[in-house]
Amino acid sequence: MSVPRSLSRTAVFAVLYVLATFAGRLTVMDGTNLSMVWPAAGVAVVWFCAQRQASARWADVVALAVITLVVNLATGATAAMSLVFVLANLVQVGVLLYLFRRWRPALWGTGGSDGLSSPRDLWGLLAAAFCATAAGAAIGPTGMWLLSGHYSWPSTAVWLARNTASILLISAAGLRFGHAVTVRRRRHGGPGGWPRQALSALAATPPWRLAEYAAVAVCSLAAYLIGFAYADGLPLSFPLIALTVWAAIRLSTSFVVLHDLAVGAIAVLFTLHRDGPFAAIDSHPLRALIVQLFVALVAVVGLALALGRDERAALAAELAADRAALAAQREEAARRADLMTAIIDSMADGLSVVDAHGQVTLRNPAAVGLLGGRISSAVAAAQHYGLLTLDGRPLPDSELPYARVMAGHRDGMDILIRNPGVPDGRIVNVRGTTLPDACGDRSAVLLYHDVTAERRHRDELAGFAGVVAHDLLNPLSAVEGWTQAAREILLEDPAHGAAEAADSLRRVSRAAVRMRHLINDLLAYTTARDAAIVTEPVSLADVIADITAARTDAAVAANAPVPRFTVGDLPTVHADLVLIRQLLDNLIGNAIKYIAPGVVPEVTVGSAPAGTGMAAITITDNGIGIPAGQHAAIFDNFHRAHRDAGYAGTGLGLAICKRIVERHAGTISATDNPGGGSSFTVTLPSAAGSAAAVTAEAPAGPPLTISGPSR
Amino acid sequence: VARVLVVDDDPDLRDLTAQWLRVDGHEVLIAGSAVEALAAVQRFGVPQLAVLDVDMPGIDGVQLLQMLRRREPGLPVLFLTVLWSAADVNRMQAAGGVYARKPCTAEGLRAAVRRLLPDTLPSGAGG
Repeated sequence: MSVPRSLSRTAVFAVLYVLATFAGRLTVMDGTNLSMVWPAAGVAVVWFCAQRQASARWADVVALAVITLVVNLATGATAAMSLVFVLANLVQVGVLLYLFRRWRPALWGTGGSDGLSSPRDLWGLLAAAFCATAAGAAIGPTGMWLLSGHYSWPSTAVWLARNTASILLISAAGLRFGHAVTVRRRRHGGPGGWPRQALSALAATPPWRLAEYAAVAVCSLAAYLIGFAYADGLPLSFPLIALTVWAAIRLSTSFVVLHDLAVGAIAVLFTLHRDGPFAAIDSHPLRALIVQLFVALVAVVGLALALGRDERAALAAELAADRAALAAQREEAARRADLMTAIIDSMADGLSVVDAHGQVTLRNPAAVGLLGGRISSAVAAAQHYGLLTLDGRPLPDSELPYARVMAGHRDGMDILIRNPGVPDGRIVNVRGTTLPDACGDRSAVLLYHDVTAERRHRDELAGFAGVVAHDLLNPLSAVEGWTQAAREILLEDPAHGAAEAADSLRRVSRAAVRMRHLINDLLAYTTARDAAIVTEPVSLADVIADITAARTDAAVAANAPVPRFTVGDLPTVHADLVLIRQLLDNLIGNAIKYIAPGVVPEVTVGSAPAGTGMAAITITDNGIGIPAGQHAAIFDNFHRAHRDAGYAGTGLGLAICKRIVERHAGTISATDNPGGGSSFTVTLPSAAGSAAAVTAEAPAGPPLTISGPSR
Repeated sequence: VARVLVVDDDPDLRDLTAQWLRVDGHEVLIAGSAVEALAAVQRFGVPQLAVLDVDMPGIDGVQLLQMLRRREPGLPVLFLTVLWSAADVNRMQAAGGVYARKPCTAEGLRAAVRRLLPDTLPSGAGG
């Protein structure tokens, strides 16, 4: 705060102080030269509180001293007595500020920023006011005694009572006002717009509340006028306290402070004027003492009630806010818990939590499903779930996933689960970790991931690689070796080696054809397995007609026995044309190929309905048949039933057929004919049925084309 | 010069091996399966070396080796095969055969045969 600003504030307070001092001096009675009322005591406290951080506080001290001196001199006090009063007033305000700052350091005016808002603030102010006035009284009346040789106990009592009441009332109002101004300044930057905001606050107050304010004001005015002006000396002061109680319980604390000030002023003024319930007391000091006690009591009752109520309301609001925050937290926690549960329940991987005592505390539906629906609330032995090692041995207890995780193994392990719920077995990768639980024990958290398809795929891939390498390396050896042989022959004897070289090259090209067949079949298998299928109505009659024509031409060209085909009524199916052509060509090709030497192939193609929406197509031959016990195995990759008998093949033809049929949600099977040969029966979705029967495993797209002969 | 039994179910490879061995002057017996091989041994006597394919339908090369060793315990055997997995190689070595990978060159085969038959010296071309 700048010095000019500080000094201007000093001036304002000095003026107020002068007025308060004059008002006080007007209440001097008798020859005691002692004022009955001393509002200047309260004004001085507010002044010094407001100027606590002022840059020119010395000016306040000087002003207070000078004003006290001058006014006292001007109103009849001797110079010596005036100096005593100066000293008494300075000591009084100093003691008050010191004590009040010690006891309530957080308030506006003592170093903090809080407003006078709790009963403890009130008691602090009251105690500090009493101690300060006691210090003042120790100097004032004592000084008067020293100067006049006459000590007046009543004067001391009046001094105590008037200054305490004055400080209590005026500084309570001043402290609240000062705090309100500071808050306003902090929020709005200045006092501008105050009337507008006050009006809007007024408009926001409910009308019945405004009516109550008016009622309290009117009733108080009426009651005090009756009690002090028209009661004819009757001691009717006690009912007046009820009005203060009414205001303190119901209305705002600031209003209560103003109310206390107003009724206190009325009481004092009328009493000094010798009206009212205390007028009957003859002794001036005693009368002043009583009325000041009355005013102080009214102020204390009003403020104690109002501030106590404020404090309770603040606590209740805090409690309600806490409760609301707690409820919000609880709701959030519940929402999170629901979300977590939903996530865990919808996970494709299995999750279970097992506590230190082996009790299962959580297990999601996926975990139950992976375990084949076998659940138990406690960790059970491997047999219960049918837990096996990958090579099919029962899992020992120490190798159970739970036990491994508890023993600190973090790496995942593959286990085989086979039980009545999973008769075909399932390979599950289990990994886990331990977490401390609420009881200080450790829980195992286990995550189950179904790797059956992955492992099967991996094994299939490894098998594929092996077989492909094997089946390609053999013809490649022939290619290399016979090429070298041809070269050597031609180098050694170009003239006569031609026939021998041609024989070598014939072997080379035979090996190359074998390699081409295998590669074509591999491509066909991959297509059948992974390519997108595009279904459409496919006339099997047309497809079979094409195939039989081509096979007949091929036989004629190869000078082989021409197969005889018997084709019955064939349906239209809902399928992928390219794959169906491949399927039927493979089957008819097998029927012609696996035939005893010298026998003319006879192939019959017929059809029959096969359940809802499906059609069965049967291809019957008069071939060499299928070795006993291999009717299912012939559909496996690289299975060659007739290798011993010298029939060439890649072992992929029927695997391709099976894959094509499965991708059309159909079935394929082989049986022996009563009269010799075999029958292959394929079911496919009939075009009359719905397209939904088809499993489209890959997104729709153009199918890969397959070229070249099969098998 | 030695009498060598060559067994392979692939005729082109069998003939190739046989041709290479004949070029070196060996007397070669050929068979397309274990059964044929046993019949040939029965008829023409035990050879001094057997060159066997392993992956054959029916009785495979390792089993054939065991059968031949029953007749001739010290018979040197060369497995000529495309099999390469550790399990297959272990099986061949456990049976007591030397192992050579296909595709195999004439020189490779010749070196292997020389290792197995140190006493016989090839007579050179034209034998």
